[in-house]
Amino acid sequence: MAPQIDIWQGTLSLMVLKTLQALGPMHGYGIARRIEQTSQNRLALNYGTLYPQLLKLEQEGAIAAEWGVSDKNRRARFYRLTPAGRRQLERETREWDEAHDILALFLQPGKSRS
Amino acid sequence: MRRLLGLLRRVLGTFVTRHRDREFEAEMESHLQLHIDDEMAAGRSPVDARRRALAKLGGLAATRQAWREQRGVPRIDAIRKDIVYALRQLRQSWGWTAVAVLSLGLGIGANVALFAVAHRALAATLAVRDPATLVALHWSGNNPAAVNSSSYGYWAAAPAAQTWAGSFSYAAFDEMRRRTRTLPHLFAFAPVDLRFSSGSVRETLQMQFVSGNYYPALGVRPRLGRLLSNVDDETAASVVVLSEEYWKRRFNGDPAILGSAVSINEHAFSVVGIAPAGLGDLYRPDGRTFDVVLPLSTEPVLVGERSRLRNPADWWLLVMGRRDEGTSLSQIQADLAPVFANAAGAGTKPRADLGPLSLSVSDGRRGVYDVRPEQTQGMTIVGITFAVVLGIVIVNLANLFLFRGETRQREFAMRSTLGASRGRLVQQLLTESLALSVIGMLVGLACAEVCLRLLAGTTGTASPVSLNATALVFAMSLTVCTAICFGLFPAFRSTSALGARIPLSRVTGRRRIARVLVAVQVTLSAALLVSAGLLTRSLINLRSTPSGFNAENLAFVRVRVEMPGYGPERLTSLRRDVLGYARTLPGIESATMSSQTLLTGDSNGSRLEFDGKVAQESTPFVVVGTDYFKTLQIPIRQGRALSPADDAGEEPLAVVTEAFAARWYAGQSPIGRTFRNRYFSPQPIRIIGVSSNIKYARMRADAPPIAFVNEGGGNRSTSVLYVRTVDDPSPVLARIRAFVLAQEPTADVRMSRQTEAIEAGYQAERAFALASSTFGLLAVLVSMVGLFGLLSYAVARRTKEFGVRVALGATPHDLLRSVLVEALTITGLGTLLGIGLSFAASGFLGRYLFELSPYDPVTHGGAVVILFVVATVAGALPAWRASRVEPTMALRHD
Repeated sequence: MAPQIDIWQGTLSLMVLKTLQALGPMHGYGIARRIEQTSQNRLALNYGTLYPQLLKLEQEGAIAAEWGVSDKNRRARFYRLTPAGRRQLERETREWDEAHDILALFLQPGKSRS
Repeated sequence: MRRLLGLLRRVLGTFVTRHRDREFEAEMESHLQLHIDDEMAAGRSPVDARRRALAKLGGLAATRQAWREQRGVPRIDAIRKDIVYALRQLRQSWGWTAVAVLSLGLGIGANVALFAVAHRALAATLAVRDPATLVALHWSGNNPAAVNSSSYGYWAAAPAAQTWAGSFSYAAFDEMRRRTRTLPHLFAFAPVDLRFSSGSVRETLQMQFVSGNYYPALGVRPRLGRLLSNVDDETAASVVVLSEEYWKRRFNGDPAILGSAVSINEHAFSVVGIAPAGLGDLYRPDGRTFDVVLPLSTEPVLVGERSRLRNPADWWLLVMGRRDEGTSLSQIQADLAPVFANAAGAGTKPRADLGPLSLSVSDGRRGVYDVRPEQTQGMTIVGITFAVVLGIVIVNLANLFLFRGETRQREFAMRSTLGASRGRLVQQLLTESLALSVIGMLVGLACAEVCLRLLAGTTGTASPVSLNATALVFAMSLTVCTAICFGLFPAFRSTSALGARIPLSRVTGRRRIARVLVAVQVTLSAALLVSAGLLTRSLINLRSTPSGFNAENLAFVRVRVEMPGYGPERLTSLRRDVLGYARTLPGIESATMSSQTLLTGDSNGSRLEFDGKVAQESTPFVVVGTDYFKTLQIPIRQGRALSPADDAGEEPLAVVTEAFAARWYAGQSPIGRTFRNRYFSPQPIRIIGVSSNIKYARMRADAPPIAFVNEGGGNRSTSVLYVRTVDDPSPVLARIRAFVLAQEPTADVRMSRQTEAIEAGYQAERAFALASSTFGLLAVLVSMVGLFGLLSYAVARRTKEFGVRVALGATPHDLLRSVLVEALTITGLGTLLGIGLSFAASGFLGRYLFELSPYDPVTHGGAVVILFVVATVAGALPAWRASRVEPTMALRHD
């Protein structure tokens, strides 16, 4: 079992947005699997926690959903990125990079920023 | 923006739920299916695959819960659930709920009603544009003499050595209007009763003369047509404006009235417009409106030789102004005072002996006379009663909630185990109190309407007060406060011991608090009961106070004719004819004339002159016809009554009351002595008899010294016809009215039975007594429900103990007694404190009492007896239950 790492709590929405950008429209199960794969199974996700997050993004207008048919011919609810979601993704990516760089300055003081 | 959108959707999500829930369930199903497909593709059995899929999801129920919390706003969602749950709880114990709602409703309703009345009295301003920049003008003089100016029924509480009034002569008004440099508008108005006719409508109406700038200054827009203007006033145009109220009442709001001809005191006028409704009297904001408004300059034509407009000695106009925002009251005062002093000094004073007069300029937003002090005085005592009743209701409900919390310990423990936090439980309990309060408020608003009618009597406001938006806001805040007051403490107490078994000490502690609360209720209701008793007994005293004359089968009639050319001589002769006619009627015992009515608030005094010295105080001076003492049945103590022969002699003669003799002749016989009243006759007035004392203007006051003087002796006419009938005066009064109207169709005839007139004077006292007794008894009832609840609860709790005591040899009688003793101990303690409270308030209460000590032992004794009897009744059922405890049953009792 992969370790439960706290950092992903706050960034789950970022992961969802990034996944949708990479894969295009996708259902909840697919997004969950993809996040696990992308993290090379270093993140263990309770798939249930994804749904409130998806709902939140939907309420905020970052993603939209509609029913469709999966490649295995199952009905599923497909989420896709909206233009607002695309902007949100860009902004949050930038902010995350910034935060990461700043933290890096503290944690690895030897390395200066390139 | 994004957050806002999210929040908005969440709030919506709280309410639009069903469709979204179904969609979520479908999505979960699809998710599991996709996962199971994958697991089965990896070679697992369907059962295993499903198990793994569910485990990976983290449980379907938990996911659903997390999702729902995101869907709506959890707090709103919880509140909605709480309300539903609270209503279910209240419905389950509907008997309990009914009692609580009723008592709350009465408590809240009474307070809201009083608030509405007080708010109107205190905050009401005139219903015109920007009332804050209106100014009112008054004058004062340094002389205690009675004023010959019109006060239109208002008696200002001026310092004793001053006269103070708000009416001016036209000359003084005109001078100020022309010379002012600070007031853009200075306008005048005066009420008048004139005859109005239009088609078949013929009646005497309340009208108002206004200066031409009246409407422009007030900034009032016409409801229809146009309002009066400066041009109308300058040209004395024969035009009138009707009030919207009168127009609707009498002409059904027919617009055809515009331009139509009407007749005012038999002069042709035309209607040019309708003034908007609600534009009441500027004289004081009591809601009175005028039916017809006329240009001031038409007054001489309409009133004829008795016109007041050109008479500089007649002070009758009320004057107000509209100032600019930047001009202060003191600037206006500085500007107008010299102008006024000049105008008043130029021989135009209302009375020569008033000395120099000074002008004062004050805030006019409440009209010429600010009547707040009079109105609020009556409200204080009612307000205290109502507040105390609500207090009792709150204490009672707090107690009942405490008991309920006790019986619901299991439910709380269960919910707590299932994960509800204490805060969540407190919130739930508070929701229950709030739900109860809100239902109570709805009942209360209905009650408030009833109370408003009750209250109308205590303040003497002319028109009924209705509940407005401000009163509703007050009702809601009161409701919330009430709910918090009675809900918060029990909510915290009841949830304080969750999870642990409640230790015994805590239970007894809780009962001690409950006892104290019940004792507080008894204390307050005892105090209320005492004050209700005192007010009621005071009213009884007032009613049974002898007036000094016989008011039964006695009635008075006033006849007035406002026709131009109908001089005082014709009026006097008409009145004489009426008196002559009345004397011939069957059923009449005797009839007489008088210059005034008795016990209707009318008073007419003069400063009399004894041995060449003018008295400082004014003495009631009544001009009477023959048979006055016989008609009113006032006993003559010394000398004789006035006889018809006295009027022939030209010499003024008087019968004085015993109080008069005591005041001016130190109790010696005044027969044959003389005094003077120069306004009545230059000749000295000789006293020929002494009558017993009678009450004069009102029952509450002591019988004053009064002089009754014969009509023929001076220059004052008698305008009131007094008749004594063998039995009910109504048929006689009807015939007198018919006779007067046959003689003079335009006459205004007003008549009343003396007993009715006296009773009308008790209106405020009656309303006080009624309100305080109703609510006093209500308070007792509520506290006794509280006592009953406490004892029932205690008996239920102590069943086991009683069982043991019976087993150890206690008789049912012992148990019965022990419960009753508890009831009576609490009652006794509360009563004692309550009587202490009423003693403490005796100074305040005493002011409202008539010939009754606030320490009246009968009232206090009565209150004690009532409380003990009711307490015994309240304790009887629980005590009886206690005495029926079977030891075997009790020991099995949980």
